[in-house]
Amino acid sequence: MLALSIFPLVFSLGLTFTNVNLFRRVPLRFVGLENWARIFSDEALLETLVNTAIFVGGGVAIQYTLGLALAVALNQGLRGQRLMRVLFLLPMMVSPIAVGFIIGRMVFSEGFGPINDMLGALGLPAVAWVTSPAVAKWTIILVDTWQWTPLMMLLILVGLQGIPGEPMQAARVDGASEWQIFRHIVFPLLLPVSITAILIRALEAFKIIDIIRVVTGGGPGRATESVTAYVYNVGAKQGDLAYAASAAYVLLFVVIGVSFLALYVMRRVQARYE
Amino acid sequence: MKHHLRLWTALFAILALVAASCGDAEVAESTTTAAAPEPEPEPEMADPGTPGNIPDPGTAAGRFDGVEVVVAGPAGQLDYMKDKAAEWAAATGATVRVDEIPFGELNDKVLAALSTDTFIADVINIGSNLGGDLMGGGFMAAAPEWAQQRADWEGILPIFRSNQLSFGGVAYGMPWDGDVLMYYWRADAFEAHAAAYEAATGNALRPAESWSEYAAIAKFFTENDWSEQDEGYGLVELPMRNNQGWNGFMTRAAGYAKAPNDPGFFFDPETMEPRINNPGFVRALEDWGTVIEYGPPGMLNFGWIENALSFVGGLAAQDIQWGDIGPMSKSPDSVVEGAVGYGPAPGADEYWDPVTGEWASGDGPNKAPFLGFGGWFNLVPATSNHLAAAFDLASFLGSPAVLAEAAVTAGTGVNPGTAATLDVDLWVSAGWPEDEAKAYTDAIRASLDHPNAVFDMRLPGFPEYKDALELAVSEALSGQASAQDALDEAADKWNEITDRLGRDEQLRIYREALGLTG
Repeated sequence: MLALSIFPLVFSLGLTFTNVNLFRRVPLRFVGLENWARIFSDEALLETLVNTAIFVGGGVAIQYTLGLALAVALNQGLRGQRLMRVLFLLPMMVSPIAVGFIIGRMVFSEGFGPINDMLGALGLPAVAWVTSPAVAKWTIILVDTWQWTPLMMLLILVGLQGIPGEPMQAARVDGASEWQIFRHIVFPLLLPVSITAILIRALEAFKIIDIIRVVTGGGPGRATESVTAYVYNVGAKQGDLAYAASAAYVLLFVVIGVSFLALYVMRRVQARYE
Repeated sequence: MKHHLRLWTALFAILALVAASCGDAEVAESTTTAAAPEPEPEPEMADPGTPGNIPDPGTAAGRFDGVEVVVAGPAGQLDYMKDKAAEWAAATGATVRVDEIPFGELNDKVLAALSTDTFIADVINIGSNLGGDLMGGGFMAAAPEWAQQRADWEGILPIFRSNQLSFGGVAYGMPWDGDVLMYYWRADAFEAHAAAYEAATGNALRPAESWSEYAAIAKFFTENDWSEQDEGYGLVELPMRNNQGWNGFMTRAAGYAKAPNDPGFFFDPETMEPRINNPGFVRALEDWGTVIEYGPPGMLNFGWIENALSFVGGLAAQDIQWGDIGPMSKSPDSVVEGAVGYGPAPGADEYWDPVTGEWASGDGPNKAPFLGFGGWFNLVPATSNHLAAAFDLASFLGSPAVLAEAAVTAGTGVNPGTAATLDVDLWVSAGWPEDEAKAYTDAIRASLDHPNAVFDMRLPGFPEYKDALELAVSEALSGQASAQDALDEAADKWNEITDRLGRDEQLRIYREALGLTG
């Protein structure tokens, strides 16, 4: 545990107090809080934090909504649902780089992609999926959603199948509608699974980089650059490992903070239902 | 490894101090210094910059029996090199291991390894942008005279001899690839639509000499149905951030901002002040923004492959690209075989003269062909365990016979940059019609021999400079900032990078890269 988890964390923390640069032969020097101070004047980091928040907030919300809807549909005992389950899981099995190319660069290609072709056939204007700063953010979210909604669906489906049937049968006998049953019985009972699913997905989404690098390269401008992509650029492309480690710690603190906040809010909601 | 040991030891010392003292920086620093081990001597290496201290191994068969030479280079384009290295190995008794590194990670891995004295390879196939870091940084062994002779040093075009393969007047590299961004047009479409163009614009349709002509031609072809494909556009270029946006912009900006009477381009060679926000660069970016709409939809997201496939796929009437378009136009998937015109990149009607601080013009458009990327070449790290064998292999790979064959073979990544590869007969023997072979090689030679040609940046920190500039260009082209504001911001960033890396040292290296002394 110490070697695998704690040591790299502590080692990288140590880096943040140094001047280590991968590409320059400079004597190792203790620079105190210099790298940490630099964070506060780094507008690029702030911009990428905002981008990341949009990717996480927007992406996870859509993925949860879609995942819930699909899971409920697949839990109805319809014909062919086994096949449907397998089909829905396929995107999750593809590497994000391949997904980036297939969906982000080909399907959403502004000139040659089928989506703009379909819009054109409907008489609608083409959409600048990857070259408009505002739209490109949503393109990243859509690609991420295509890949990761199945995970949400899978986790929620497991949760649905674990819900006992008696309370729902009793509610039906009492004349409750299907929506009322879902709203007041199924959804509250799903909350623990939902919290877990949302947290797992959010923690992963905070680290998004692969799809971005393939689909937009972080552009146009810095419109789709995530914190992880920024840290990668600073550390691996520019060699400034010390500052990259500091920026990575900022992301870690944000993730920890958001996780605690999410757990707190979810527990409050759960308590309300209980 | 010694460097690593020092790093780890010192880091542990720092961590212990941070944990113990919670941060009195002054005390911690002095204590760290005390706790750090004594400096270790630098590892032995060949004397960089002193050619001739590697004995000539001769040419006898089996001269490197039992020696293993490791080559590192970009994944996906080393197959031809592997075949040739195997030939060399069979003749010398050596074995060759070729380590392919993903393109996007090559520079990072090479720099990281060399900076920490970690062995990465005996021969490194690398892009010219890294020349400042590698040769200027003292990591490379100077090329011995015998290796230069075997690579036919005099047959290499001067711009590559002095800019790509040498640094500070010392030869380090062995030739492989020659790169320059050029102008391509659909000669068949130009011929077919000449009358219509003249009727529409009042001007004769000819290959663009200036960026303004290029824009007018692009507009005409975008607005008129000319392509045998479903869609046809006026141009295709390279604007994508993190994917050749630097080269796309600099190819255009060079005409606007490289004054024939001044050697500097990226920086003022006296002060190291960035020039990228001067009126020349700003107008180049503004003008570029006005023609992007004549490209295929989504062109802001086009890198090398999208650009090349759009042109050889028949979608664009004009293209700005490296020399690869010539051989690619002959590939089975191409629809433009025999229909391509070749020329140096257009120039600007006026250029910004940084000496007078005014716009100036000459007899015609100011052309300044941009040697973006500058080509792949082979370097031998000073820490190689087999310096003689490494240079023997690198000079064999850079020999006229090998390069000539590579230049006309698809997928080698080798563009012409030597007398042997610019020989018209070579291209004719490879199946090109003589007039096309001549047009292609003439266009490359005219670009490479141009007195106002600009060689790509070769400064330590190039990835940072490039990233800042590409970000600004991308912001301006996507309407997030004006050209002036975006480039002002990039210039500030460049100053910050220069100051961080040491302005005097960066200035020295920049001047050396330009061939300036004193």
